[in-house]
Amino acid sequence: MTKEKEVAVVQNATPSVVGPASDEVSYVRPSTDVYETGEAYVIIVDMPGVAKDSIHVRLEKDLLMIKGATDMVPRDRTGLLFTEIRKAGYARSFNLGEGIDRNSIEGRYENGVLTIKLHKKEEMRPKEISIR
Amino acid sequence: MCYKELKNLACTLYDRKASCISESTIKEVPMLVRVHRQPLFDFPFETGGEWPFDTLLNGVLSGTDQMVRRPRVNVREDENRYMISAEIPGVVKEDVKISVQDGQLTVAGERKKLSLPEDAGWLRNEIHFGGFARTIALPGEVNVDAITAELRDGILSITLPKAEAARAKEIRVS
Repeated sequence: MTKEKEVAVVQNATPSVVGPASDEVSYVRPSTDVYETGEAYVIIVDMPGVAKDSIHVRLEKDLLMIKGATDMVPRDRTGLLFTEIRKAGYARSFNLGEGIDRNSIEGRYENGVLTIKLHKKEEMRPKEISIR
Repeated sequence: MCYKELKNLACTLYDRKASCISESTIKEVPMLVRVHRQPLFDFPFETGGEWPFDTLLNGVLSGTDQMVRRPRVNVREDENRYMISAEIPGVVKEDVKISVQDGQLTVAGERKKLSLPEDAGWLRNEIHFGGFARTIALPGEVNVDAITAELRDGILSITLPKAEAARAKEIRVS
């Protein structure tokens, strides 16, 4: 609760109108796909421009936090003709439910795409019931 | 309807509640809530125009994802070359084509759909799979034979050496 309040305060402090100020960079919410299979949930996150070493995936209680910094923001603006890519990085969080096994979370990063596999707990997996 | 409203609408349409995973309402990074809107028409030498979100929205409304996506680019130059970076996550280098014609550079290709297990079901769909293309009018003449490109971490970096004619010349005052 305290944490939520804190966030609310911070949000209020930021100007409501964010113009396309050329020097402004921020973390953005990456495009994400999620699919479910019998034994796992898979989260796919687009993080182009992030080096593998700059990706941080953290689990704090039920909160899975994904963060990655890019080096796409040119510090030196000389010769810059056009910039559509100008973010400091990506950040997105997910709440994990009871059914996910916290101890077998796998991550893989390839071609700018982060894939996180969250295995379901044994009791959450579908079972074939044999008919006698 | 403004861009943000359209985006929200599309997100609502796409949001199907996951039973075990839900987007966290606690934002670890306060900046996270600020959607950075890209200026749409300030590229002086660009051809074509599209809202960055159009493709997804069209996909939602028409139920197809056959649209061609326009990747975001950065363009910069130095004395000897132009450098273009394009965001194409999830694309392998065999699926990218770069061509230069009539002073225009075109990057096109395809992001292949994932091969999912048979019992898989989608809970959230924000990523665009399928074709992408972008054409940029080059600001000056380039040496077409010396163009190089590299694909790393979802960013395509193209280096285009300037042709002799496009290089800045220093004029001596006599």
